[in-house]
Amino acid sequence: MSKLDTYPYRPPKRYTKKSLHGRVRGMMIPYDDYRRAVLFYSQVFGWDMMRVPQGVFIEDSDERPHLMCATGPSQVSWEASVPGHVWAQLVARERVPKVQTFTEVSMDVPLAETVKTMTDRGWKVVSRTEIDGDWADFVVVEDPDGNRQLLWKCPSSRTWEEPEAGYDKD
Amino acid sequence: MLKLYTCYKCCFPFKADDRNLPPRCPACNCGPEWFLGEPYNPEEKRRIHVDPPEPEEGERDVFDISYHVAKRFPAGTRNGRLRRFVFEYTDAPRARRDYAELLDWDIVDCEGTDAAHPEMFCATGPGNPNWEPSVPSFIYGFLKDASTDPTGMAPFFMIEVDNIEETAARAERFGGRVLRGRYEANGQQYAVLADSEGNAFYIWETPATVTWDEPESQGG
Repeated sequence: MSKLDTYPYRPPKRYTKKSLHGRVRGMMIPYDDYRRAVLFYSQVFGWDMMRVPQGVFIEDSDERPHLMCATGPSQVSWEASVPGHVWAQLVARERVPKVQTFTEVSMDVPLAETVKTMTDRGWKVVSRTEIDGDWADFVVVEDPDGNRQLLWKCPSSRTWEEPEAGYDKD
Repeated sequence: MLKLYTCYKCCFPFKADDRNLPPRCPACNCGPEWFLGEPYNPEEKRRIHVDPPEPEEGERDVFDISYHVAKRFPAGTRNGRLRRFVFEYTDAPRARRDYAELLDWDIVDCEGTDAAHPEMFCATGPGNPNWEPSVPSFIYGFLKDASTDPTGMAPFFMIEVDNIEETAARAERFGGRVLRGRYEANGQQYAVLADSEGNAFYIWETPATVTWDEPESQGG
């Protein structure tokens, strides 16, 4: 392999489809002790935290809340406002047993079809979560090496004005 | 009827059928009484404008987890930003093929990597020539041979820090552990920590080559 074909010499390919398929959009980190985990990430790394809005994602409880964490400059929606970093979520371990990514998949393909392309290659489905009246659609999958990802299919509410929805247009 | 909505409380935009509104604003959790609707247009341009709220001034109680605008993060530092994912593999060709074909990642070997156990860098969306994303709120990451991880803990993500030793000392004060002290790889400085809950992750010291003009170096 030529040196010019390696990182950092070859630039990344262009992403010209109006799609966020495959983007790693966040990180989900389990906690056992809620207060201890909040103190660790707020005091060591300066993260800011709020409870994830209810009814649009994983259910939680007042005692074991599901937290959205800004790890750097963020928009009012808590999506990052500059490139190169993502939010994290602190989640009770009984709901997320090990660290996993939050990965967006195609809005144009039913989530079941996307998941089938993975299970056909030996990946496994860890969990499917359905919440009454929920607005989101997601499945947790694991690759053959044990790496877990929550696959999230964005609802059709995206307006494409959102800064994070950019793609290579030319 | 399909409409464009703007949350009056936080200015978050979304489109939805007015008979099937989300029960709460996906950003700030307020109820539908705060949603301002306008007729849908194919260009999806909104005429309703809501000024974005400002972050609060002063220190906030970390256990007050009600909705608020995220704090201002200072300029001139990337300390604490979650910057990379790291997936370990046992079969390099399979990992490369699966992630390229299933998730459309652009995957290249890192310069000078061992061909039999390559460390691969993965673009997961549009980026700049320096292999940093060009739009906000997603990250690139690594595929790494599991046999090259001396901690055996499969550290899964990477946080950028100003200084490795200072961060490690602070982490230990708040219940974390150092799994691997400072080491160099590909000209970069890293360490591996476990958080207070036992989750392993890398810390990466901001390189001296950063100019602070890069899009990924901007402050709040």
